[in-house]
Parts: sequence; C-alpha cells; structure tokens
Amino acid sequence: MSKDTLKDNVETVDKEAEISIIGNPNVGKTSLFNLLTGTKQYVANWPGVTVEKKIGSFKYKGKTFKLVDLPGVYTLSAKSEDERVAKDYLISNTSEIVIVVADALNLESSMFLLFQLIEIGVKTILVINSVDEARDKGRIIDPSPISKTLNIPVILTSAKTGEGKEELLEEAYKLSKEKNLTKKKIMYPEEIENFINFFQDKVSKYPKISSKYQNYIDSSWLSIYFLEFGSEDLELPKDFLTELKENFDIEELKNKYLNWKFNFISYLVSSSIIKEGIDWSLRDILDHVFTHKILGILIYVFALFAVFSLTFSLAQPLSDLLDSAFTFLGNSISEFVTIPWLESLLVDGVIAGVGGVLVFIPQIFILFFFLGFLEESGYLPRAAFLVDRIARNFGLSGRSFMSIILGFGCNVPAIISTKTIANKKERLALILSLPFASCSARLPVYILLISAFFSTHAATIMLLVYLSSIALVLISSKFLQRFITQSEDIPFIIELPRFRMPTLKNLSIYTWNRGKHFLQKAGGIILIATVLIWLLSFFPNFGTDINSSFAASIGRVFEPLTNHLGWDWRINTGLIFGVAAKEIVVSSYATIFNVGEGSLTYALQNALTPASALALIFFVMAYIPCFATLATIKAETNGWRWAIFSFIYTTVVAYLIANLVFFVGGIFL
Amino acid sequence: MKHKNLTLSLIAILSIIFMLLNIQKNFFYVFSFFVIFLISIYGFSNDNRIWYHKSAHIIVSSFIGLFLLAYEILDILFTMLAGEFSEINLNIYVIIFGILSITIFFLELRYLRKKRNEALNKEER
Repeated sequence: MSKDTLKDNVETVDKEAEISIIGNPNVGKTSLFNLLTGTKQYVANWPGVTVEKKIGSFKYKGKTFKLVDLPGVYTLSAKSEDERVAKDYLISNTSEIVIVVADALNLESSMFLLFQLIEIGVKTILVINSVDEARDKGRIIDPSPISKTLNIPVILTSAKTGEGKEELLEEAYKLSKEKNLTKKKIMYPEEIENFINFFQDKVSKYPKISSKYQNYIDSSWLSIYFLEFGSEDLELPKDFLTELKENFDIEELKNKYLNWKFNFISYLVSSSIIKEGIDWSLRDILDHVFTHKILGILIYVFALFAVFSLTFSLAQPLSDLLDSAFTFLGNSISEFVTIPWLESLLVDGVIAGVGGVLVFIPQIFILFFFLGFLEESGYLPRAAFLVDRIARNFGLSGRSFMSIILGFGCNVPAIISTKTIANKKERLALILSLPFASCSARLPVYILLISAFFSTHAATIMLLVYLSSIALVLISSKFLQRFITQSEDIPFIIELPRFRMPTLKNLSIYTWNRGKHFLQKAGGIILIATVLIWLLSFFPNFGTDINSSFAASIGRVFEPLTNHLGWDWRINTGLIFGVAAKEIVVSSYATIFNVGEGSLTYALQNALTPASALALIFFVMAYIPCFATLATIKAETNGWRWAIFSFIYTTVVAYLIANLVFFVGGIFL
Repeated sequence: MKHKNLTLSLIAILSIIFMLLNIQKNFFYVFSFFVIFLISIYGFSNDNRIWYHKSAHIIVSSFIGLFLLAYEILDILFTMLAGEFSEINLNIYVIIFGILSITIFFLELRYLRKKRNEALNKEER
C-alpha cells in the first residue's frame, strides 16, 4: 500500500460524521441518544424534556460519530424557541445524517416531519421506536413499504430493550460512507410540480435568496416550504412574492398540496401496518377517569398529597438517624478540640449549620423519587392537560404548568423550559412568576418549621404551601400580563404519553440528578455561608454575647418591618443570607440560635408563634429568587432589567403574603 | 365483574364510612376516601360512548384503595425502622379497604382481559 493510500484510509477512518436525532416530542429521542452514546441524560415520560440540543459521541467500526439530540418538534416551521433550535440547526448546520425517531404506536404524526427532511435532501434514517410496546398491543409493523417508497433505511427499535441498535449503527455507518446521496424524487401532483419548477427558475434570478439558501436551491425544499408555511420565516423579496402571486393561487395550491401529502402519508402508514392491534387498553381505562374535568383535578391534588405524606412518613426516621449522627459528631469534636473559638466554629458553625441542612437529605431524595414517579409514569402531562382550562383564565397554558412542576425541583431549569412557549407575553410573565414555584431548596425550611409547629398536620400544611405556590404563579402571571403588550394566542396541543411503569434506573437517575445539587450546595455555598454567619455572630465580642454581634446588627435593620410579624433579628438574618440559597436559612438558624441541631425545633418554638411561623413559611415560599435563578432570568430576558424587577417584585409580594397569612393565621391558630 | 352498580355501591358506602371514621385521625386518609367516594359516585352515570365507563371507575377507585394500603404498610415499616414501636398505630379501616380493593381491582382486570380476548378472537375470525 502506498503512503498516500494509507493516509487516505486513515483520514477516512478518523473523520468524524455528525448525526442528528429529531422527532416529535416524547417519542424516545433522548432514550435513543443514551442507548447510542452510553450517557445518562434524563429521559422523562412527557414532552419538552429537551429544549436545547445535547451533544454526545460514539464509535462504530473505528469511525467516530458525533450525535446531536434536538428538541422535539412536529414540523420544521418553528414558532417556539425549542422548535427554532431544531430547525436552525438542521438548516444551517452540517449534519451528515438525520435520524428521525417515530413512535410505533403513533407513526402517522412523525411522517410529516420525515417528509420535510426528505424534501430537504439530507441522508435520513427512519427509526420506528417502541416496537416492543406496539407488539404488546398486538400491532405489527412492516418497515419495507416506507423504506422502498421513500428510498431510506427504516429500522425498528426499542430504546428500552436495545432492540435494533446494531442494525441502526450499521445503517448509519453505511450512509456515512456514501458520498453521493441518491435522493428519491417525490412525484407531486402536476400543479405542484409546475409551481416548484417556476419557483426554482425564478429564485435563481435573485442572488440574495440563492446565497442564503444555496444548499437547498437545487432541491424543491424551499418552494415546498413556502407553499406549506408561507414566507414569514424566509425573508423573500417583495417583487419575487408578487411575481409568484400573479402566476399562482397560492392558497389553493397550499390546500392541494396538504391534501395530497395527508393522503400519501395515510396510505404509506396503512400499508406498513400489518396488524392494528387492540383499540383499548389499561391506559384508556385510567385516562377515562384521570382526565375527567372534576375528578382529574381531585386526583391530581390527591397525588400531590400522597407524595408529601410519603415524604414525611418515610423520611422522618431516616432524618432522625442522621440527626443523631451529627449530634454524635459534634460531641466527639467538642471532646477533642480544646481551643474554644475553633470548637465553636466547628461545632456551632459547620456541624450545626451544614448538618442542620443535611439532615433533610432523606426528605429531599424521597420527594424527588415520588415526583419522578409521577413524571415517569406519564401522569404529569395529564395534569397539565387538566390544568390547561384553569391556566387559560390566567393567560397561561398547560405547557406553562409543566414549567411550574419543573420549578418544584429547581427554578433554573423551569425558567429555561419556558423556551417551549411560543407566546412571548405568556413566556415573559411566566419567567417572572416562576420564582414563586416552590423549589426544593426551600424544602428544608418548610420541614423545619412544619415539624416544629404543625407536626400533626405536616403533609396537609405542605400541600397547602405547594397549592398556594401554584396559585401564586398563576395570579402573578395574570397580573404581569396586564403590563406586557405583545400578544398572540397559540393553542396548547399536547400528546398524552402512554402510562409506563417507571424503571428503577430512570427513577434513580431522576432522583440523583435533582438531589445531587443539594449535596453539592451543602459542601459549597452553604458551608461558606455558614462560616460567614458564624464569623458575624462570633465577632466583635468573641461569642460572649450574640445579641451585640454583627449578625444581630444586620438583622435589626429590618426589625421595624418584621416585629409585628413576630420575627426578631435572628429570623431576619437567616432570611437575608437565604438570598444566596434558600437552604442557608436553616443553616443560619442552626448557627444563630446556637443550640445544636437537636433542639433547634424547641428554640424556634420559643422564638415564634404558630402564626408567625406560618407567615415565615409563606414568606420563604415567595421571596427573592436565589442568585442562580436571577442569573437565569437575566440570560433568558437578555438583560438585567427583568432580573432586578424580579428581585424587588418577589420581595414585595412575599412581604404582603406574609402579612396576610399572619393576619388570617392569627384568627385560626 | 358483572355487577358493576353493586361494586360501585360497595366502594361508595365503605369509602364514605371510612372517611368519617378517619376524621379525627388522619386528614390524608379523609381526603383520599373522599376522592374514592366521588370516583365511585361518578361511575353510576351512564356514558354510552365508552363501554368500559363503569369498569374504569371501579379500577381507579380500587387502585387508590390499593395505594392507601401500600402507604399504610410503608408507614408502619418505617416507624419500625426508627425503633419507635410504641408509635405504631395500625389503621384497620385502611387495611380492610385495601384488601377489598385488591380483590375488586384484580377481579375487574380479569373481566376486562376476558373482554379483550373475546374482541381479539373476533378480529382474528
């Protein structure tokens, strides 16, 4: 072998090929991505999990493939942010191969997207996923009619069991080796063909368009795209459009084209399905009740109530064990460390503060485990579907409700997930209202105060807090939308996913991904804040009188505003430091009350009345988003203006709510 | 099960009784039994478009009853794990309702599967 040939071969082997995965929402794109790359991206049983593209890689037969997981879309006529991500990527980028993932139980809805990609002329593989579930329902699919008609490889897979993986890899490898793609010429009706020819002929005379869409000018894609979705995204010159309108009745052609496409796809799908399977299942039976307009809402409240009850019942014994472990650690350090200030720093500062937060690990993980169960099983989209009607009264849609639920974990991904909302007015109002969604960082504060004051009705109070949190997001959105001018009404369309028994693996990934941030924060920002609070409470009088410490001075500044609520400087100081991260409120109290974590509950019972504790819970639920959330608001709204607004707005709202709760609570408690 | 209205009546009556009996004990159970009661009551109505309407209400209400039994058992197990044996307070109403729910749930599921098989056989023929 000559040197040059060897070099050529090496280059061929090493050259990276790029593959994109695209498909409708919730068809298993991320599962397929994980299967091919061996990564552990979280896969949820609800649409809209991927709102930004994810990149991974894998090797097959010595060739490296870069794999890009794109957000779920129905067509390439993108209106919302996530759809735009997918469209822009496919049009402007250099993906060598595109894998279109379709659901074996809902094949037809993916075919429109597949058709668009074939029209673009990229190398396409159709993956019909979840064939195992289809088989269970008696549905049998033959991929050859689609494959032969469209001249593309069609693979039957199950991302869950790994079925079809090898075949898919082999096809991707073969396609990557093919230098020239033989594009299947789609035979459109005569009028459409005439239009395409005319369009292509005219467009070549407009250099501006030709250079912008140079990759697609030789194909019919641009003309078909124009026909289907209009010129809004294409920025075509006015005289060009006038010329088209003079020669063709665009509306009539559009209807003809859509009818033809619909019939063609229906025929293609029906010829591929050998056996339909049964038309009802346990899913239908459950859905009949779960999506009932009254019972559905009650069942959703029941589901939340059950999650909170389980969290409190199951986590409490584990939490007590951790509590005992930290007390033991504190006592042991007290015996060994003889330098008073160091002992105080370690025992009253680090162990009381960080340990005071870490004892809530069981609650956090158990809560996420069960919330994960609701998401994974496919129940949450049903809740979103039910809430859509209520949410519409507040200028939001069921899609927004998904973001609120995400916000129960962390406000940062919840705000990012608003990219799926096409209505700009709704999106901005939701971004500014989402900090009211009660994130998990606030959980330790709730648990601490609820355990101290309302232990017999713990789950009920927790449910009340979460329902109030949802109500607050809705009311706030309605209020804010009054001041935002842009508006366009876009209907909420959601495909209800199938009910699935969540796998322990996926639930573990979900729980760990959400819970690990809590552990990371405990070793980072909470530890730093705890040491800082200890320093402020130890100086200037070296721990002899905490009431004249720097911490006390800071908290006293706000006492005129909070005295009537029963909050003294200790409560205020904790709230001030809690702005960095809400868990710090608990670690601050553990340090400031200086009582050791075992009796913090008792110390709080002496410092607060039940009404002021309830007011404090609601204040924490609503007040200032953490720094990470503010930074995300800044990033998503392209400036500090709305982040600063959010800072002030949430503080004012939280203060008003705390006063209201204190007043009403004072009557009943 | 063939006697749908009878099954729904049994669920409705027991759930409302157990709801009242739990008022002083546990609000979560009160709310849960209330939801079960409403689901069974709605099941009495006729929905001609969906042949499994009554079955669906029986399945879902008994499913919640089954969940409550699992919750009660887990609660007891975790209380034992903490070594707080004196705190164990068995809620007999939930246990009774849970066992009844398991029976109803599986009987109804069996009935539905039988219907499904009949439909499949018809299709094949």
